[in-house]
Amino acid sequence: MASVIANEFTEATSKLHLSALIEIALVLLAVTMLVNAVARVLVIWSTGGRRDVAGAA
Amino acid sequence: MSRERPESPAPLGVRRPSIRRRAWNGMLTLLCYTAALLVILPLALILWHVVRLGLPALSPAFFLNLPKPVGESGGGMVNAIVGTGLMVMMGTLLSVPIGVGAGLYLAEHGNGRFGTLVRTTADVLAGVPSIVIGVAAYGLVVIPMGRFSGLAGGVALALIMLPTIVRSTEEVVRLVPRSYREAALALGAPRWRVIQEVVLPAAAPAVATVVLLALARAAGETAPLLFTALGSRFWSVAIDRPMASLPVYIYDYARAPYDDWNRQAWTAALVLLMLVTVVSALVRFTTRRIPRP
Amino acid sequence: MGHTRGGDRAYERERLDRGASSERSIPGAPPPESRSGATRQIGIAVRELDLFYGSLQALKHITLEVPARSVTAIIGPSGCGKSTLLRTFNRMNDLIAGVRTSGQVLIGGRDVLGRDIDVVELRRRVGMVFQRPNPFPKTIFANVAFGLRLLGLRNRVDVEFRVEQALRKAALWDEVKDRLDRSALQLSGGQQQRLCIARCLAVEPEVMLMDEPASALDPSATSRIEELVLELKRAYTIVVVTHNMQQAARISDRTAFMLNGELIEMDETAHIFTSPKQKLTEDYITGRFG
Repeated sequence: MASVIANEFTEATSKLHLSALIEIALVLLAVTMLVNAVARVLVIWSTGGRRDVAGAA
Repeated sequence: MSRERPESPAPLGVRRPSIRRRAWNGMLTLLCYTAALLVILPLALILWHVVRLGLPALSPAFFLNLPKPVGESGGGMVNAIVGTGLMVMMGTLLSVPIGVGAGLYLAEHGNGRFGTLVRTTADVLAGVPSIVIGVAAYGLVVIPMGRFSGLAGGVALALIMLPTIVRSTEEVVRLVPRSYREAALALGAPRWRVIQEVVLPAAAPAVATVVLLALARAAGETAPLLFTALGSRFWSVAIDRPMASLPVYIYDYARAPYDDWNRQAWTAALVLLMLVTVVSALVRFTTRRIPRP
Repeated sequence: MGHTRGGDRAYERERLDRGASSERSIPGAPPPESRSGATRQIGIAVRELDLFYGSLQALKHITLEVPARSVTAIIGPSGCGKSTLLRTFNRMNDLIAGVRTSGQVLIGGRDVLGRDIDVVELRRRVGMVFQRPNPFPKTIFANVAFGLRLLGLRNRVDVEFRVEQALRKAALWDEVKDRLDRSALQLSGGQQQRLCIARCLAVEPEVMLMDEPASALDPSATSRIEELVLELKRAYTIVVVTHNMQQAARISDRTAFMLNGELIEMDETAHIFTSPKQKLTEDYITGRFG
């Protein structure tokens, strides 16, 4: 996804093309945030909900 | 007492470990060393390649001339070096006040729900891919301005530096010993003066380290600059116009079909690497703890 | 740094005069007339003080009096609440979440637990010295001058004068007068503690609270601190928390014995240690527990 954006961005002429590329970025963002959220849940679950255990948010 | 002492089974001396123990010990030690070497190897390879391929074209002309058209020799990339410098400086100016302020807030008052929100936001922002940040800067700056610009590049770099600065500042401010704050409070200092006169000065070297390290990282970012500052082959220090930068330069020249340009790309990589290394080394040197007599 | 070597009498007199006039210029400090000689007796009176950490009661119905210009020692086994009581006097317990108090603590006639008290001002007038010396990571001069800068004193000559005065009172001046601009962290433990005392004295408190001031120090440094306390009691009301009974016997005029958050007995030091009224006190003093 990242390479598609990088390669085509500066040559995107039509608004549709541009919007499509930005949408790819959005999907990338969503994936990142999802993984982040899952990671947090994992940490909270494995430390039993305590906030002072090493690594907790 | 009529208890009998049982005879000791064997004299309790100090013997050499068995052959088997020593062999196992040696093998695991060897494995550890191998693992360590495997970690160093990629860095060594990178350094070797960049220096070997970049050194030939490194010359004063490189630092003083503008890029020349294909076929002409003696081109340089002074515009890219200056451009990187300018955009990193812009990024720093934008992200440091906000980042250090937020980090300070989190360390001093950040245990409530708002603090958790700020912290989580910074964490998420840290995980956003740099190309997405580039797209965001495109939407935030390039579209309203109507053109690519160095300013957009600076904004993108600021967004990259911000989460690191926030979390790291929070950590180093928290490290300031509680005893200092107690002493200041017990003398009759209001909370803000404790922070201003005791906590901040005590944390200042560490905060400077944090900022410089974030800066060194931002100097090497490519993706966010691709469609914010775009890059240029001409001398330009106007921040509302496209601006050249070292990482984008490397990206363009490495992909080009011309040998000469490829060579220059290697040299640019070397320059960028040297820049980052020098800054990091400077940081470590100036903030080292000298053991006091 | 222009500090005088003390030889020229006329110069000394001029500096002291300047010192007197600058005393008036510290906002909040009492006018000089009330400091010398008579009056301005600031004692502490505690009435039915309860303190809770959440649901745990740390202080139970404490009622006692601390007379002005004397040394009062608070003794007792670990965890009996003596540090908690001390920290109530300058509202340092406010820094801990979930602390509730009821009752009164009257210092100089005003209840310091009241809502309308300016805690910042209170802490200037009721100073505290901590168990482990905690000088700021600044120069010796800057440490002592810290409180003065808080009060807005800007005139460099005034600040230098008061720093010297405070260091003299803390019996530290002779040892540091040539290195005021060196880091405070280079001093020995005992010197650091005297620096903290000097820092506290610089803002001219009326009461000084000391939480086990010598427990982190070696014996010779400890005895210097004790001498200092005996000197200071002529001008300040001092409360010392200590786990060292011999120390309490040496330096205090009155002693309070606490156990489990309660005040068991309080009396003149001589009486407490020779003929205590309560059995618990006697047990503690003779070493049967604690």
